[in-house]
Amino acid sequence: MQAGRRSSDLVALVALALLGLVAVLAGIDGAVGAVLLLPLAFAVPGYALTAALFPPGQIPAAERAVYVVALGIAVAALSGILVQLVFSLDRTAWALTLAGLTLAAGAVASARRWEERPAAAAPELNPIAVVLLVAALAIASWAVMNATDRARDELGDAHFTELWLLPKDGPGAPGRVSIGVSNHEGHPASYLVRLTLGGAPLRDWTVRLGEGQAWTTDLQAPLPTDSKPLRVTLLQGGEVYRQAFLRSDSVS
Amino acid sequence: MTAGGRLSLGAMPALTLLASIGLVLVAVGNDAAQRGDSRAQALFWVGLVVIYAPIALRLLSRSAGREERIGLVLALGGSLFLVKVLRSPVDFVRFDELGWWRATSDVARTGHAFADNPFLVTTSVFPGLPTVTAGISQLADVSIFHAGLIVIGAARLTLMLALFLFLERALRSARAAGIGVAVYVCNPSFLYFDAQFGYESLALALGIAFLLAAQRWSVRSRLDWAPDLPGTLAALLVLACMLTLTHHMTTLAVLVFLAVWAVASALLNGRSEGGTTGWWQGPALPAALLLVTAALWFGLVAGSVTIDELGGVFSRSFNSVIDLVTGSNGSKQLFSGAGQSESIAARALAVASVFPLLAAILLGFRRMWRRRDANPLHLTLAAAAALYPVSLGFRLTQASSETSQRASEFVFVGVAFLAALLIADLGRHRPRLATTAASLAITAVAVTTFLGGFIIGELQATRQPGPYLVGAEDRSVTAEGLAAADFASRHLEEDSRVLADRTDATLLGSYGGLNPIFGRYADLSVPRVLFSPVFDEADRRIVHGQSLAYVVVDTRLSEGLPVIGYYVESDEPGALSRRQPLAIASLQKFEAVPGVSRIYTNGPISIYDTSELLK
Repeated sequence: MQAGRRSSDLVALVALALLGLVAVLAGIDGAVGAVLLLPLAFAVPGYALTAALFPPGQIPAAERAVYVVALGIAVAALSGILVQLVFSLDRTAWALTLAGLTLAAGAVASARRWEERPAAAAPELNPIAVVLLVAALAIASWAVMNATDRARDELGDAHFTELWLLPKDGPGAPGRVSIGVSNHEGHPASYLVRLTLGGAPLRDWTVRLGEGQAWTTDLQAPLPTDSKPLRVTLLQGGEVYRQAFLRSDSVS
Repeated sequence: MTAGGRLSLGAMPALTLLASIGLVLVAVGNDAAQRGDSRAQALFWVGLVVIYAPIALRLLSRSAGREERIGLVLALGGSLFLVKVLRSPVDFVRFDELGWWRATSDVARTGHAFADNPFLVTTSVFPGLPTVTAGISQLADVSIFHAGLIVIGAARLTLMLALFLFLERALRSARAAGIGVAVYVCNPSFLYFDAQFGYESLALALGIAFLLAAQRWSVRSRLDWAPDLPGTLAALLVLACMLTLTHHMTTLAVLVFLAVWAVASALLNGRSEGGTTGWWQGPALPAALLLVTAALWFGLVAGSVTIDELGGVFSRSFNSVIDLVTGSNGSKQLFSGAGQSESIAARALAVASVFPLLAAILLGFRRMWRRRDANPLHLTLAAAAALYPVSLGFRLTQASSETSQRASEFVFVGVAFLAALLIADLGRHRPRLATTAASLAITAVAVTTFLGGFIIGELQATRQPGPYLVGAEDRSVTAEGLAAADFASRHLEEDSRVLADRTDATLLGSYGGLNPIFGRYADLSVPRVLFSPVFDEADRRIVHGQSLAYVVVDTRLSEGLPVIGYYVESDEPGALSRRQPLAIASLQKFEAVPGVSRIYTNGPISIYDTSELLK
């Protein structure tokens, strides 16, 4: 009973490390993956290493908390730097490295606990204090989420349209070009896209795009020169709105 | 902790709730600032006061328990970190942050650290922050932005707790330690600079954690083996390695601190805490550990980059101070950038914030002198505090201001110690009413120091969000700039060399995946390609010599002077001395350059393909 109780945190560590490893090997990502793997990515190796270095009762809880985070960050970074000398750091490499470190440190911690004092019981919190802290956390979270929404809205309030004309094979080379229009006007918009060579019309497109939508087309185009640039003009309501052009110095 | 294992947090939960309301005020103030509402500043400043003042007042109180004080310093540090998050809650937007974003992205993309970084060279030799952030991002499948917030947020809380414990052990008082932390957060870098996604923000926490372990190692009263000895030694070794691989300046600062502490311990052996006798039992061993890791790392990997960066900063500072003293050059105009200047009230607050700190240092020294009970650690902390007035002198010139700013987070550990030593002694035997009045007065002074420190440390333009400003760091990042960077990442060849103004170069070099080019080519300043009225032979030489595939032009640069004093880099022609904005004709000259194509535009920002000129 006593031995089981004093090692319950280490059992939880091993479980979290193995759970994280399984999640990676099973390819679980998104929100579920984040919940399963954040402990392994951040807190678990630091806790295990601190438990291995300082058995229960050797240092005060507050100092232990400092080492859990500081050593957790340190051991993750240092092991990653060592591993990348041999292997490429991908998700599996990280999971194997950090789970391996956790298991090794957990084993050392477990062995050292047989010769040390048992841990003190976890402290309890006043229920009113818990309610106040949860309320503070909720309000702070609301402030951050609200600020995030407002900042995104603010970025969305910038009304503009992107236009591009890209040579697929480099400027000056005969071949295909790519034309693109992306609407960030904050509302659906209609455009006339006109392609010309030295002012002579080659082709027109009428494009209607919703907010955030893009239109692209690839086509074979004649070779531009400096005197006869290949120009794409974006017109809105009959007015020139944007222009992009390709020129080639080498041919003219 | 009370009997029965119940954690006694006292007023901490209620004050944390109050701090969260302060955060709401800051958020509402930032939103108002974005809309140009005149109440924006008032809401922001009141929010800061609501966060700081009640916690500082409670930390001064004699009735708070130790657990409550620990909770309060964590609530203070966490809340002030969230103030920075509220400033830019969607993405990293600061120059340094985007440099570290690029380094982290490179680790996640290639699986390897130490990649060259086009606009923040130090990231290639200090892989601590990008590696751990990439690990969290890859493993938990969260964005680099969110992984970075987790790392820096955790580092901030660790810094607060470690500093509290370090001061508590030094001063043998939880109350004094809490006061010390409340003073430390007044340093000009604390609120934004040291909360940004950058190596120093992480290194500060590691540095103080290392000092805490060094203190555990040093403060022992016996020669015989102690159970925590191997663990402490191992922790010191791991932290020394990580600190060295994370940040040069913090490593050097901690090393100097330990060296002074070790020398003081050797000289005053009989007066050291615990009366140590063997050198290895005092701070000399942690100092030696850090010296070895630093010597190996700087000798084999990071030496030249460190010398280039820190040497440049220090030599510019030294020369500018010499010039000031000899009269070769005047002092800078305080509280004003090229484009903006502070209000009278803000200037008064900034100036007023300095005097209480100077007074605390002087009176703290006097107290130490009179009591003559200082141990080697006390003397070392006092020596660190003595550097504060020196650092103020560096504020007088433009070039040395950066040194002063960078020094503040280190010297404030000493300032916090002396202020705590002094304040904790005040009112010890006074009536309750007098003590309360004194606490309120001290809190008012602390609030002045806190707000004034922030004014000193952060440009007026960048404290809150707002409409676009030219050359104003965060305030110059707009949807158009982000869209251009996104276009570059999807359509242009990775690592293509590009010339752009500072803001667009930062975005293109990070989110865009391009390689921004700064500096000089032969005897020519690269940014002149943007500034020259016509595209001349010198511009052509630079484009060809630097293999610039693209030039990015933001026509908004012609709308005003840059707030930070320059458009591209600090030693560009006309930096810090321009009277007129760039002429629009200079920016539009690429329209008529043979062989140059405008391949992208979104209105203000255009990307010109200059690769034909490289043939």
